[in-house]
Amino acid sequence: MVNVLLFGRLAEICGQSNFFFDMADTDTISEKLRNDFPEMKQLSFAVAVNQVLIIGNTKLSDGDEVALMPPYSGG
Amino acid sequence: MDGYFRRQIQLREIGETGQQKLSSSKVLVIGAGGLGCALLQNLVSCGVGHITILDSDVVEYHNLHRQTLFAPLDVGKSKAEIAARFLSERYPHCDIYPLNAVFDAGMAVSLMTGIDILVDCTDNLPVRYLVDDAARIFDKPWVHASVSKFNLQWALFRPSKGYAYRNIYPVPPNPIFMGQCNAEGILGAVPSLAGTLQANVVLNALLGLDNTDGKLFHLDTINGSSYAITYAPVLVTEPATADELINYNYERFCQNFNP
Repeated sequence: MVNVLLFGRLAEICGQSNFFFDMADTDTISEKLRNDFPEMKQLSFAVAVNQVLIIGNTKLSDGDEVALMPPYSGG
Repeated sequence: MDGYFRRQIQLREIGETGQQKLSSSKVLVIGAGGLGCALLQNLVSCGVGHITILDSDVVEYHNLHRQTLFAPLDVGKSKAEIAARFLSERYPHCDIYPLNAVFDAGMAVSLMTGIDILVDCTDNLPVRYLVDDAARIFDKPWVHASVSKFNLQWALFRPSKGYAYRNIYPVPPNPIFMGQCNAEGILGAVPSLAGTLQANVVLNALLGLDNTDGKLFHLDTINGSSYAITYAPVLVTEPATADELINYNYERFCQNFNP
C-alpha cells in the first residue's frame, strides 16, 4: 500500500486529504484520481515520492508516501 | 548603531556585521497586498536598508482586513505610495522607493542589477514565472509565498543555481481554475503569516543563514501540519538573455494549460 497525500484544492476536490492505494507507479495514481474526480484534469500539480519531487512516471514500493501538491496563487 | 537593533545584534548569528549587512541590503518587493504588507513590516523593522515597493494597484476597502499598512482613508490611493509613507514615518533608517507600476520584463531588466534579492508578493502567475526567469538571468535569489485558503507554500529560489520555481511547476495551472481560486476568499491572518515567513526567509538569505536550497515548504494552518518537498537542481535554459526575457509572452505562457 502507498499513502497518497493531497494538498490544497486537490484535497477539496477529492473530499479527503489522503488515500491508501495498492498501485505500482505514480502515473496509475494520477490517472485513477483524474478518472474518479474529473475536476482534477483542470489542475497541474507536483508529484513527490517520499518527499522528493519526481519527473515522469515512478515505480512505487509498499509503504511509499506520494504527495500531490498544486501551485497556489493567493496573495 | 544606537541600540535600536540591540536585541537582534545580540544573536551570535547576526552581530554587528549581520546588522550592517541588512542595513546595506537592497530588496525589491513586488506587490504590497496581503503578503507584501506583512513582509514589508518585518523587513523594515528588522533593519533592511533599501527597499523598492512595486505595485500598480490602489487600496480597496475589502483589502483592509489583511493589508495592515492601509487605513480606510487610503482607499483609492496607490498601495506602493501609501505603504512607503507608512513605513518611512515609523522606520526612518530604511530608504523606501515606491513604484506605482506593473512588473513587466522591461521593468525587471531596469531594476534587477541594483538589488540583492527580490520577493514575489503578488497573486499573479505570469509575474511569478517572469520573476523566476529574471532572477536566473540576473543571478539573484528570490522568495516565493502563496496561499490557497488555509494553506500556504513558500520557498527560496536560486534559479541561476538550478533551484527554480519552473523545476517544480514547469506547467502553469489552468487560468480558469486560478480565477476560481482568487474568488474563494481568505482569512486575513493566513497571508499575513505567509508574508512573515517570506520576510524571515529574505532575512536569512541576506544574512547568509539560509540552508533551504531545493526545498518547497507547505503549511496547513487548520491542522498545523507542515510538509517539505525536496528537488534536485536543474538549470532552466530559456529564456536565456534579457532580450529573450523581454520578448517572452508570459500571459500567453500562462494561458497554455496542458498538464
